Amino acid sequence: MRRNTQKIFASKIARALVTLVLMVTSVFVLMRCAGDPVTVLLGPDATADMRAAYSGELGLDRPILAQYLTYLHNIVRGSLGVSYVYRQDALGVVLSHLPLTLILTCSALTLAALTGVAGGITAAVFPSSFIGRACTIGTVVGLCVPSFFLAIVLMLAFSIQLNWLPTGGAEGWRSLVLPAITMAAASSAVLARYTRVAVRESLDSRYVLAAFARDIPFWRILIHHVLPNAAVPILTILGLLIGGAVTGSTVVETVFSWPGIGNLFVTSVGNRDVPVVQAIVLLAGTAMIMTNLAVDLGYTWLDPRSKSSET
Amino acid sequence: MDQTTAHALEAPFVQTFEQGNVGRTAMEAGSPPLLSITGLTVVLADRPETRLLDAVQLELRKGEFFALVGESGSGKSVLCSTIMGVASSELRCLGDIHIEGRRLSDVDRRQRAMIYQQPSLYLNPVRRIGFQLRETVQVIDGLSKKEASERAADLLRDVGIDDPNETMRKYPHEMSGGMNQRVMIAMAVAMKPQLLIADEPTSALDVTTQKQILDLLEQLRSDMAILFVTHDLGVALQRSDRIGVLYAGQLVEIGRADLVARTPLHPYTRALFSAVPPLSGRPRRLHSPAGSLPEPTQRQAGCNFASRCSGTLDTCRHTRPALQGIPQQMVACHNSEA
Repeated sequence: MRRNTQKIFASKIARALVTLVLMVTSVFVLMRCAGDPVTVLLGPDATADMRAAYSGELGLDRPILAQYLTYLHNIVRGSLGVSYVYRQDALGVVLSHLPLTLILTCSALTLAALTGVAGGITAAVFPSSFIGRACTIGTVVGLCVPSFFLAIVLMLAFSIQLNWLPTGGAEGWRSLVLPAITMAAASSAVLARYTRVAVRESLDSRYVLAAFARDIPFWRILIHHVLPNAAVPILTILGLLIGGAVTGSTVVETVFSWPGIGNLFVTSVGNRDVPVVQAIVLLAGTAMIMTNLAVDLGYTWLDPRSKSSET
Repeated sequence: MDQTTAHALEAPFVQTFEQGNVGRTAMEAGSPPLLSITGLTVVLADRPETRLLDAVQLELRKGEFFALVGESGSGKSVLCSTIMGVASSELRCLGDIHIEGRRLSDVDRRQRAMIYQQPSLYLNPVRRIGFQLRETVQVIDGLSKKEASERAADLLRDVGIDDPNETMRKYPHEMSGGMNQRVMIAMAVAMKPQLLIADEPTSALDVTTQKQILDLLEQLRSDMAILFVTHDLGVALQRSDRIGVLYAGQLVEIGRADLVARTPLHPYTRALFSAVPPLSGRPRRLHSPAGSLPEPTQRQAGCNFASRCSGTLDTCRHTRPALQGIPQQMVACHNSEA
């Protein structure tokens, strides 16, 4: 059994590495497809001499395969080029924006996980009570309202009308509240929806029926029988949300002018700062693959059946 | 009647049955019924004219092994879940169920335990066997975790599991159906129930395991009444004191197993007997009644079996026959004396 588990872990890690390489390669291909970098950098008025000189400097005149290998080599060394705008190492620029994004996404995801899972369980356990219905309706609203709209509504209410919280920036915890709530709303709704379905399904299962017949108290059944079974789909969704959130929500960061990675991404695209954009895309992809791997490994811990079924 | 007697005697299990059942009828006298069901009718809540069970009348005594026989859709499982008090909310139950003279709703749930046809589906797939059994013991007996573990191991030993500690570390999917059924029985025993409902507990098992599980149930019967639901007529006659035949939600025949085996009175019971292949002699063509079980939505005012019966009288089409006869063997048929 132990050996089997190790084998599964190894194969999952190997699969994640293959995905990583594919991701890195497609970023390379997409960046080349996005247009001639020389034109982008020098503008359409550049002379042919200038263009040739710049091409040589960036190594763009070399064969594509050689360029690709250099690109891979640089990634392994952790050097992703120099930002055109900041005149600094692109990865360094991105990483300097990371802490603020992590603060925002961690608080938003914690909020989303707590409210989403609690709401989903409530909606599943008390489907026809007032509070259960409120959870279901809240879910639908959370799924339907786009975050830029919610952001503006919250700003109007709490910043402009009530003047409790700032409209933007990153000064102290007060400026964190509105962006975190905005970001959490949609994730919380998604989580609540999946939690409700998973908990409902487990509550309707025969092992729960049998547990009721054994006179096991309801709360014990919920905690020890229903939730461990519902955890698998919940973890999947949570993993996807984390993977997507590591790079920050571009929309929320932009609306609240939160100086995180999402904001940097939008600015850099506007500035045609290719190395920074590339660094962010690579970081986003890596984060997604890593959280997926973590979720995959989590399955084997949550659901003992996955150990023996996947050999 | 002569003809049916001949049929019944042809069936090979009658011999075994008669050897195995000597002296079992003693419990029929005396003691008040443990389970008493009177006029139990179960209908669909939104369509009350659709009867899944129709005026079922049944009494079980302590120590009794009662076999309920019927084909799929006859209402066996509805009856089980109604007695267990876990019937679907889409059903409405009329009539009375009493356990030891008290209404079902007033009776402690722990008085009844149930085991099922597919034990693996009724065990939590992501919790270890030990956790599930220990939890049951803890809830029922209020023991500490350590005491509960020891009691759980004892229970597993009692149901014939030799290495209880290893079994307790396993998950349901790592065990065979027979082993899971033993675990379910151990959980049922942990509840110290008065009534054990066994809903086709051996149908999904191979014959060797089937026999072991049946022997296990036999050992338990001294402390409780067992309602054994099956569609295996051989098992029913071999193991039970009394049997009831359920057809389209109605008990059409109920009586001592030996009497029913020798002289089945209801044409449906006779049909069931003639549909059992003989173990010896020249294979004959098996008889089965024409037509099929009427759907609950299409049941008529008269006898449910009228359309498939060879001895249908005029009254059969208009009046539903009620159970009648001597207490040892009752039948719901207008033409049973014919």
